[in-house]
Amino acid sequence: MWRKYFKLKGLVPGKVVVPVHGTIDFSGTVPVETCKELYEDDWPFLDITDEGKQVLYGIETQAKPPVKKPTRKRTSRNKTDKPE
Amino acid sequence: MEFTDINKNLPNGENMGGIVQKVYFGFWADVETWPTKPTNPADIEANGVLTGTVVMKAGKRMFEMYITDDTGEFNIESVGEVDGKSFVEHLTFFHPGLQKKILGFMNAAKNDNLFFIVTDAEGQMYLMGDSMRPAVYQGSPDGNGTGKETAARKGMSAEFTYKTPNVYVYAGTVPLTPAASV
Repeated sequence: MWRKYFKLKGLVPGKVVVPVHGTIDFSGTVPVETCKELYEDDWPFLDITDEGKQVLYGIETQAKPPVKKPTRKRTSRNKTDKPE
Repeated sequence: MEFTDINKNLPNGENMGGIVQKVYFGFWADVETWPTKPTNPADIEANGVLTGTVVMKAGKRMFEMYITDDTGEFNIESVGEVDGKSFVEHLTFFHPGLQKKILGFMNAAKNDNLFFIVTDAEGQMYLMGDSMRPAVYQGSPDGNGTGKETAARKGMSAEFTYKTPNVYVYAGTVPLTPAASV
């Protein structure tokens, strides 16, 4: 659940010891409230996702513009060859 | 920096001695960035705490070691002459048994540069090591070995020291998982 709202940065998911919170294992389930507290304390190893911003803080994130597929330019063979 | 009153301040009346039954350690050379010491602190409380956290190099982490209860001690020794005072922090502990892991630790630690994070009985942490100096092995204050009688306690005792101009609380993270390249 927490992974929907936050993402670990700079650490492989696993155990860390954080003052006040004790040992937290980010390879498993972590209460969202704990992540929120860490994020609000500017804990350097946690980033918030767009969904987290929206759900937990009501911040609307800008929708990404649709990705355009690159269009292949049609090249006609023998373009210079004019029919006689 | 301004001085402030220093009153008796024991939250919830707690002031238990000793350290908890584990210490955290790592190779000094594996640290990417260290927490910073106070510069121009607002008050004396800010003058006693490090800012930031230990960040390991990519793929590196800290480790924990079990220690027997009531054998671990973190001691701050004041050293130096007048106008040249500084501190030596001492960590002593006993690890039970003579298993391969602890022998391998001793082999690796005896002549290498390490750093430690020590937690006291109230959960306050102390970092032994900085960007300039590591913690180093000093010896075995209570010996290493099997003991003499069958009632003796087999295991390894160790003392590590770290020389520092000032002493601080560490308020950062203990990374027991490897650092990932960002």
